[in-house]
Amino acid sequence: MFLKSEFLQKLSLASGPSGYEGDVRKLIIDYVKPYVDEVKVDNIGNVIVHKKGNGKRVLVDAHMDEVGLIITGFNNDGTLRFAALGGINSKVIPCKVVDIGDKKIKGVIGLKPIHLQSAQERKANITLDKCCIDIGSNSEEETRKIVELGDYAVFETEFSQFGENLVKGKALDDRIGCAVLAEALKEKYSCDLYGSFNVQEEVGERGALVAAYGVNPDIGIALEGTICADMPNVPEDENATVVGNGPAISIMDRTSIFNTDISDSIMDVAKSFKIPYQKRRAIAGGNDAGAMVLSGDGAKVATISVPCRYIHSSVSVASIDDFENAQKLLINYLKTM
Amino acid sequence: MDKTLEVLLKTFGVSGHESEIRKVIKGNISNPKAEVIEDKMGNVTVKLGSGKEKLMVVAHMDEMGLIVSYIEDNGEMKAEKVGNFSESYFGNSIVKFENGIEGIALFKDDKTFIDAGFKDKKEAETSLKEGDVAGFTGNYLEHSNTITGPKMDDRAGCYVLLSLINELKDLNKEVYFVFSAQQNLGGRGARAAANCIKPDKCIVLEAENCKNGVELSKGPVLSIMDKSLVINHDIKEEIEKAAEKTNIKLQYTVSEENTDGGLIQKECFGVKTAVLSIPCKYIHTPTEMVHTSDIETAKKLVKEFIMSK
Repeated sequence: MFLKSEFLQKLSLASGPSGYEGDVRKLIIDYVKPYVDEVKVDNIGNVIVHKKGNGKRVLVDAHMDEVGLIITGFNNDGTLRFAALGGINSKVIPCKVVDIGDKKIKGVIGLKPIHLQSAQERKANITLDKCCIDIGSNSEEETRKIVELGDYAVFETEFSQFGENLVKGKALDDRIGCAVLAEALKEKYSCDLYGSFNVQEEVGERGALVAAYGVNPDIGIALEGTICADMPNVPEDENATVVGNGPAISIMDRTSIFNTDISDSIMDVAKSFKIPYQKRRAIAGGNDAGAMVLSGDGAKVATISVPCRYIHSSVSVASIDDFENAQKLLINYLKTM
Repeated sequence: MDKTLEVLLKTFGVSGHESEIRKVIKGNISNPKAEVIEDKMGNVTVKLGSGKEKLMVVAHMDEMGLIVSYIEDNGEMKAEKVGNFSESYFGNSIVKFENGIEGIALFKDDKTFIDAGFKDKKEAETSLKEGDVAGFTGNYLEHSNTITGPKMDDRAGCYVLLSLINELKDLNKEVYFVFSAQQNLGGRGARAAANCIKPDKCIVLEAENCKNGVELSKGPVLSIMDKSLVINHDIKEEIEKAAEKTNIKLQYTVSEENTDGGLIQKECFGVKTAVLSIPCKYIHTPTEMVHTSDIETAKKLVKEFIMSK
């Protein structure tokens, strides 16, 4: 395992769906505390850190939450009903193992075997309300002793090296952004730097609205693990980003249009330090920068992302080179301010 | 047409890339008492007058357009919409980038492309890149007191604001004229401006579709309601009083638009907000048509509203 991705591994394995970011919060506070002047947790649960400086007020953010599930009911037979926390396509749900709650109770989300499916069922997509989580219990009574209404569940996914200089794991969106920010906080800067590890981005950038209100930045940089569809059945113009081509600089998404001065400066830094980079060639999706624009008197915003294949599912894939280059890029850009 | 209106109409300013139109607006402010502020979101705010009441009058300076998301090997550029408009009105129209390059906007295979005549990707990349934005461009037709062309929405509103800024004196209130950024992306600029200003009242000066009875030359349009705002009734009465005083007949509508007003009204402690528009035929197309009398009456009405005690 690459030394430099040890913290990323810890983050990826931690449980932290939207609204339940506690485990991730603890990990992050312990990791960044020695390198910052101030750490605080605000009312909604964001971790806000401050490295005091005299220059512009800059807020760099990443979100701690991952897409996950929440237990919404109990079936008579001991299985659990659930809903999504964040945007998960229902195609992703069947045939997964999940860890429920702090005790990480194992659950299986199954699918009717193909032998028993009708022709129509074989073709159709399953919907969440037709699924259930099986924890191996025989009755609702038994289940209620172990699992509570509102318990969260995350996919059980191993984090490991994959292919050539790649890693696979869950929650790379946006634990990889958190890891980039955590590493960047180790350096010294002249600007007045705030780092924000936000909650509940996946359910509407809720944490970021609060963080931005508190910090009131001049400049906001969102760090993401972003869409990457560099797959064989996807035409090149629909890839958005390509794994291995470097950190991706966004042009626009559904919640922000990015400031070209800032994006151009970031690309200038990439060029002078010979850091590979690419453009995020899509306008789909949204992120915490959108909240910075909608909070207080707004902000000039940009987004730097690590391309991650298959996000919003149980497993994604990213390049360690992209991860390290994103850190280099962010660090060197922040040093110019 | 009026030279100021002309320069406003012909200046580049796609949402999020408003530096050109910002320059032109600032350059056309001739009132020595005007205090000009540019904020983080790129809005231009002009403060005039003093008094107990804080009034915000806003028109958006951004135009809709296209953003290049991918350059094909054959030199054509895949693009996405900046703003909410229908592709069906824009096929094969001419677009212009910030650096002056022009091309044709095309819709094929459910995707949007810009063809600027480049022979391949390499040639395209010598002048353009992903993230560059283009606005709709074209000739302006003037006939029978109508003006037709791109960007009427909302450069006509900006024109009214500029005229008022340069004409008004002895204001009895603190008035903030805001040329807002990124209206086409959901009122992002205006919301931030309202957050800074914290006005008591706000009039949003927009362009409104000639639909459901709204017609050119029949006067400014008051929106009873739109997709994100129900008109504040105090302001409605004040506007109607001002219309009576100036002998201006108002048109009324229930609008299908989202304007800056939606976000302004719920900013901070809330703002009493109304949307007043210049009727515009063929809105959100490259050939938007307005009647010059409507621009004049809108200006007269807002002036009376501002100056009234």
